Amino acid sequence: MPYSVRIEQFEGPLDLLLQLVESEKLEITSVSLLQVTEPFVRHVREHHGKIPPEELADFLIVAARLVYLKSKAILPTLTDPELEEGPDLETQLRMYKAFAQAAAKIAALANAGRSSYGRIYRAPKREAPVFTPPNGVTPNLLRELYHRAARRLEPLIALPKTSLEHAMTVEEKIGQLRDRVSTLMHSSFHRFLSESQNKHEMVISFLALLELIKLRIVRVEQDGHFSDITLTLTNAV
Amino acid sequence: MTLDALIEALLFATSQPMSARKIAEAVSQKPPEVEDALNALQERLASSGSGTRLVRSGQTAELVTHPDAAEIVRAALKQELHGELSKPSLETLSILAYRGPMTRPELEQIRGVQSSLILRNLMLRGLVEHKEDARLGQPTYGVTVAFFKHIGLSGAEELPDYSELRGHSAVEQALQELVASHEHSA
Repeated sequence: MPYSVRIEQFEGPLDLLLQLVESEKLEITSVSLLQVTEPFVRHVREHHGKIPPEELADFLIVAARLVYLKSKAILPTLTDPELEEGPDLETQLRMYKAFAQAAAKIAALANAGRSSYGRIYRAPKREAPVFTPPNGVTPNLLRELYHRAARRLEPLIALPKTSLEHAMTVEEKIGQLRDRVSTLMHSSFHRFLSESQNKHEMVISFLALLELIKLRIVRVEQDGHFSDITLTLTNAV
Repeated sequence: MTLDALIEALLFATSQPMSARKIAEAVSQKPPEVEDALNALQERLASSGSGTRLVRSGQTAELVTHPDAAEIVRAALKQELHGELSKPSLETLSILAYRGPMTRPELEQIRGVQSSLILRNLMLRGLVEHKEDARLGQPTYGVTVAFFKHIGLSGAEELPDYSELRGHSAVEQALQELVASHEHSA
């Protein structure tokens, strides 16, 4: 039988045998094995130098079994108990083929890049800070300490609110000043100022005075720089 | 806390594959209870759409990321894709994954070629390991959790055509004959 397909790469004798059978488009049967006996032996001889020495024995065993099968086909009376031992080559090749196909599927999985990753181990002693609270610390104590700290913050937060409440608006001041002028006919702005609680209130009082002048509600008289200002109600009201 | 949640916490904290025996020691439970809890944990993570899953190889379990997250996790870890496995490596891994743990003669029976070097290389890569059970006076070899992580499966049962190849009649026959011939010569 002419044999034309050259097989350059094979992994082990069964792989070579399988490739030979498949290159001839044969099923795995005892007959097909007889057909590839010659190419197999020829391949082993030709690749003698390329086969790793430790694998050569395995190739020779398969070659011997193939030759034995062929001999038996010609001389059915010939049997060698040693070569009859173990599973027959046909069974072995079928089994090998099943796993060779499975290996291709595993290769596809391995190359798909869908790997899983485990956690990377970091020694907890080095990485994690050690929390060593003093004796007697309980979750309730921590809660109490937190409440205490929160209570200390309360006056700070409440302060702006109360100061706003106490701050007098220009409008309120205008009202006060107008009431005073309308009841007393003449009144001293200095005395009105002196009733202020702070600088802020003084500023508001002065703004209120300017507003009343602008609205022509009061008339002001001042004898000289920094002397008292006398307020008089105008007739407009 | 349920036992499976406890084991989940344990595997999260230890961040490495743990044998069922060690887990049993850590949680002070009997191995059958741990086995049930591992099954429950695997099932719970799988059915709840979790980003983690339990990978198991034989008696060993590890908590790992879901393969759907592989791309992002790999980028975040700046981890290179592993180099491609050679054909003989893949073949050996496949046989051990489907049919393992098995002894070296059993493996060689299927591959038809002596495989000590390839086993050693795969062990160096952390894809194959000695398993606890020995047979016929020989150590057995099986794939590791790292192998299943590498291909993104949570265990042997997820391998393509697992039950068919696991119980392959030719394999059964070949391995039984090997045992018979060993007993015969012994």
